[in-house]
Amino acid sequence: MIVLETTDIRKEYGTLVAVNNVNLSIEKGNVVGLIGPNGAGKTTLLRILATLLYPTMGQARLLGFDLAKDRLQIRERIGFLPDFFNLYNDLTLRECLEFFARAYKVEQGQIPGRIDDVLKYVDLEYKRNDFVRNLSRGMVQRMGLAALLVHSPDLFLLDEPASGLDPKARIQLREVLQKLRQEGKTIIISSHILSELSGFCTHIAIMNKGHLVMYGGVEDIQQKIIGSRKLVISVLNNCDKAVSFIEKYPNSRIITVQDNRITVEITAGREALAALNTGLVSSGVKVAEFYEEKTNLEDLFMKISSSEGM
Amino acid sequence: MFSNPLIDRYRFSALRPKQLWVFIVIYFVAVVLLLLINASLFKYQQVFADKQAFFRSVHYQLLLFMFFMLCLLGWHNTGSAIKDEIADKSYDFFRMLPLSAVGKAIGILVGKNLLVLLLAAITCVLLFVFGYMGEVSPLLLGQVLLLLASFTMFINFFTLLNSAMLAKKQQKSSGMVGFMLLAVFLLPYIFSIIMSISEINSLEKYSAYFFYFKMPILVLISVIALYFSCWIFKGILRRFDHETEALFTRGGANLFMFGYVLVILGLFWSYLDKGSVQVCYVYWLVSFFALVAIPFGSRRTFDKYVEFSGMISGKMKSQRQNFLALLRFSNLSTWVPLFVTWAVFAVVAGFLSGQRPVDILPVIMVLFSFYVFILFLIELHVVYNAVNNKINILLGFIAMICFVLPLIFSPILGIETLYQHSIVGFFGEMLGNETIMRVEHSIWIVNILLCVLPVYFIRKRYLYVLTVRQNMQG
Repeated sequence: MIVLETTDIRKEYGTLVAVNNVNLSIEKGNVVGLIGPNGAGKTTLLRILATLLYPTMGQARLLGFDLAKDRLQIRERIGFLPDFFNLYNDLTLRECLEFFARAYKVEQGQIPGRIDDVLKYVDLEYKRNDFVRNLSRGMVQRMGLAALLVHSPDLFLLDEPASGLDPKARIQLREVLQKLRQEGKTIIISSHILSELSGFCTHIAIMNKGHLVMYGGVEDIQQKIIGSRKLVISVLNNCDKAVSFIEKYPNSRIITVQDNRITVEITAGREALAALNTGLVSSGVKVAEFYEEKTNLEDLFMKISSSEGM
Repeated sequence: MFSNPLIDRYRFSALRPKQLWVFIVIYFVAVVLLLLINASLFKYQQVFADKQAFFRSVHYQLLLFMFFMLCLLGWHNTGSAIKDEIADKSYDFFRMLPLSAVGKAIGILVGKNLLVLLLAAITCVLLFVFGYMGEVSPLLLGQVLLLLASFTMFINFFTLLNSAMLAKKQQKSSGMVGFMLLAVFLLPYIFSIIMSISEINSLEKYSAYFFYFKMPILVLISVIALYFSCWIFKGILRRFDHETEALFTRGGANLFMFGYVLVILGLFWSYLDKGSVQVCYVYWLVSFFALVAIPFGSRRTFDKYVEFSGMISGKMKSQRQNFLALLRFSNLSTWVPLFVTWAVFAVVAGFLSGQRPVDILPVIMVLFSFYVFILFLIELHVVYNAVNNKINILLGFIAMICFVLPLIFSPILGIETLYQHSIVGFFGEMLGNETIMRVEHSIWIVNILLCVLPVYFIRKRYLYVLTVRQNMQG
């Protein structure tokens, strides 16, 4: 099921094109990492999708609603966390969440239970009667997520949620986001700190100078960009034999051999990898380790940057 | 209305019991002190002729108290709502709330003033009690409360609109100290005005005409305040729904202008008869204010021009067609028709005051030339602000020179009519004239000549928009 679809979304500020004809299609349950350097247009795109900005041109549908016509319906069903935000300092956490629950039309009878649940979810239940102004930055960030969670949105738009947080707060935030992912929520999360998104996103969208440079599943993009897989094979004996076997294996190239550890670049599918492993074992090589080295987002981004001239 | 979550949000903080009792105590002490002081004056100083006069005095003082709460405190509270959201960095959450613009506006107006409304309701009861004991006419009381209600709406709506208009420039409200100082200085004046009004006998029976309708003057003022409050409320809604757009749409600007001149003409109608040239000139001046003010609220920005050029690109064939399309989209084509509306009503007023077309047309032509010159200055600001954000200072300086220089040189050079070349001097001459004014044709000729340079620069900028669009697409 398509949750979000944009068609040629464009945003101009005078002569500056902040978002340039972006076409994006996101399915339910996807966790999309929106990456790109500062000024790439990530925040503008998210703010358009969050109904905070009108696009200059183009259309979008979110959760089946038209971005231009059904702004209130969209607002009811999404949760947007801006890059720099605070909550109501003059309210307690409970009051703040009660306000958001009512604003987002949560049934009156369900509100107390929902508040308890989300405070527990973000690990702030012990602060429920404290004022928002007494929270640390990391807590405010989690409280921001709680304010979104209180109405169970179908789509989360998170703009640099971890910026300005200390390592501990980042880990806590990441745990909350992991939980959301496991629950099958659709999330678009922007960041220019790629390590934040590594291993968390199912898809990535790379933006540069307003353009959507690339979009797809992490592995697909990896395949598309890198064009090959990197294998690490550790053997306990017959290293030379293993090397000569691999050298003869089609579509493969040895990158390094060091301490019985062979790094191989191979342009082939998973079946071919299995066949290579079987071949090595059949030829008398004791294979201790055989794994594919994942390319992290940072590698991908650098690779794209060099080819796109970012 | 009371299921509005924004009202709940403000209720949480404003009516928190541990701070609510502080305000309630202050209020009751103030009311008791007011009674005590008046009672002492009554008993020991014989300030009041009888008991009724004493109760009437308390009644009017409570009225002043209510005015202070609803208009001044309300003004402060309403004006701080958006400011505080921005300063607290919670404005995006506010904007994202799935509430209609009406819901948001009512939420702020009621929610931010919950305490004030609560205290005003208590005061209103006291007002009725003391009004009854002081034998204040119920009709007068009703009219005064209507006036108070309409002014409260007008002031609060206007403050909210102003606050929403300046959304990006705002800092957190500076607290109550400055406001209290202002209130302390203003109160004696407001008090003396209310007391003077209260001393007018049978004020409720004073009437005024709106066209042919005769109605109590307080009701008329209230209705006019309510009419403009409705417009301001519409402005608030537009601001919440279309933050980056001009406050007035093209149709809205024309409709507002029409309504404004109609209301002003309605007020002047019964005074415009043969020989009332001066009244007509006052009408022209008063109605001219809106003509100059509306362009500021209906300005499309340079960014919108660039955006529009993107929409027409590809549809038009030649650069000339694109230029004409941009000109039709421009502010100038919104603003110039406003003058037509003004002129039609001005001619009607002119005829009513016994002027002939030959008397009216030269004045209108001169005013049109002044108006066009002002429009070009505003449009220059629109198209050059993107490249130089200090252009407004230069344009303001040019405007000031044009308005002031003729006034200075007229006596120096001994040319009596020279000061009419300034719009200030021209209006001064109109207001000082009890007979039909003779207009120098040189005024509008000079004004049109003054427009040549602005027209050149504006045209250049329009062409730049079209060129830049081609580059953006390339």
